[in-house]
Amino acid sequence: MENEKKMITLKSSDDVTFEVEEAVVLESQFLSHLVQDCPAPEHKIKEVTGKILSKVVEYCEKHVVVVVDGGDSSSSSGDDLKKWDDKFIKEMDLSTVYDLIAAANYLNIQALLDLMCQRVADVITACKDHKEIRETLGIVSDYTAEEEAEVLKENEWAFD
Amino acid sequence: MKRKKIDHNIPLDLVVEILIRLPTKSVIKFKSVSKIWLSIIVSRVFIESFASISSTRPRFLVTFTNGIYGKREEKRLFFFSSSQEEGPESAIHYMTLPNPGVSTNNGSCASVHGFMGCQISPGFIICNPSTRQVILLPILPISHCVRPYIRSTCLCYDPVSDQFKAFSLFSPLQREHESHVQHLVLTLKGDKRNYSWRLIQGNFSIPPYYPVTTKICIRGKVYYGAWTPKFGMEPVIVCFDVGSEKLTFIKAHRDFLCWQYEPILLEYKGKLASIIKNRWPFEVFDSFDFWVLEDVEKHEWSKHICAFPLSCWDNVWEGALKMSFPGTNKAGELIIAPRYLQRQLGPFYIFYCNVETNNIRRVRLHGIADDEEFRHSYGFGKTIPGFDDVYITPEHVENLRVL
Repeated sequence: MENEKKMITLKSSDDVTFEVEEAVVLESQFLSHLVQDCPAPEHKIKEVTGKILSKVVEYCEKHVVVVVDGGDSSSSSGDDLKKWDDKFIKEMDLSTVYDLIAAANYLNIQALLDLMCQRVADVITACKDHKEIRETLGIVSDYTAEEEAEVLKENEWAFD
Repeated sequence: MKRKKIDHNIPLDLVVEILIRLPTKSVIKFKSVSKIWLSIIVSRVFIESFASISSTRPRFLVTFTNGIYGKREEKRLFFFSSSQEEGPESAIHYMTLPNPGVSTNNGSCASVHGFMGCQISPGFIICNPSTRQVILLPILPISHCVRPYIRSTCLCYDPVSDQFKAFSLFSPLQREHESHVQHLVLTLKGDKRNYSWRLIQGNFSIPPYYPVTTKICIRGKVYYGAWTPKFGMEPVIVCFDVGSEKLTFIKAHRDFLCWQYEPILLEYKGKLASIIKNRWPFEVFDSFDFWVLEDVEKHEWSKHICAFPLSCWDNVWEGALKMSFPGTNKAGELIIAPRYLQRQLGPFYIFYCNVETNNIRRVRLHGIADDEEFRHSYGFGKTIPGFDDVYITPEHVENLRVL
């Protein structure tokens, strides 16, 4: 059985290649359609760089292994996976998180998208006010001073 | 510039994906980040997605007062919310309202699709604890020669038309006409200055009836117990369809109405259910009858008796033993919640009952009037008899909609 595992090669926009098992590819809805519709040994993913694709592959490999091993989805493997996810996102800077959000969205990997969006949401939640968010995320406000004062006044209570 | 810009890098629909994962208060707070964020947060699509995500991680809405016999100006109605997932996480404070009314909750203060209707003197208010919107409804347009029923008004919601309404009853004062109930509806739509009550016509196909229990809104229908055609005759559950505004009766058992105004109805696994305690509602009880409406068309109810040892109430303040049954958790266990806060500083517990095994367990909700400083500053437990009402709604949805 071991030898029957089908391998697929993914190539990033900057021509970095990754050889992965078919089961790993199936974590992505986009790639599973691609693999089914065109059964070539190699698939180029023009929208994703090698740096980001390596993260995607790392994530999918981890998640596919756990599902196969723990067919009964025992709670310990769920906990381990959560710990792994926590570590996975902790080491990442925000710009990588954004790129992964875009990649997860493009490749249609819902769990990875959820994880990454939650990571940004946690960063936002930790900000004490709108100024800190702008600073952290590099957002330029398009409010005039008067408009901003008005919105702030309306929602003053939320800053308690 | 090393730092990347979120609005440039991430398409708007993905910004939405991120923002719907924020706690309610952060969403409100961060309307001030930029006009783009504001326009996302107030959009209908965002509000619907936020409510739908919120419904997958259910919360208890915990509403309580600081004593119903205190000084008028010191009375408050507090809104907190607590995760339904068991853990040490403390409840979040939503809002506090001045509460000059004599009694507020009376078992009918339940959250409906994120909004809550409360009878606060001088009238009925609708509030959304997530946005702190408060709407005072117009006074019922009824003369002195009619009697509004106690706890008569309730907030209801029709999921099909996505419409909130308020529903109220009154009847003539004369005893011989008291079963000629009139039904009033107020649709919460359009300019609030034009909100008005209207009488529902064309419901004469149902016989006269005498309403008894508090009301509950489940999936677009309001249910309450009543006698028909007169007090003490045939017991029924009145069903008001919020969308079509039609009334129908469901045959019930006499036992349903034995404790009068006591709330008895709840939703159990998608069906209407009723709970009748074996003792007078203020007493310690060790069994209850659990009825489930198995067939709506045939009016068939199943009955199950739940009995358990009295020791499950050990170390619970006697006064807090008046319990309500506000619903179930995801696992189908019945939630049993105290109707009053403890007089003394102490933990606040709710109970879960498995009707198949008769097993009762208790879980502490942290942050519900269990802080000495909080209790002291609002005068908890000082009044005599010091009944601080508390009412719990499970499956509370955080809704950012502004009516």
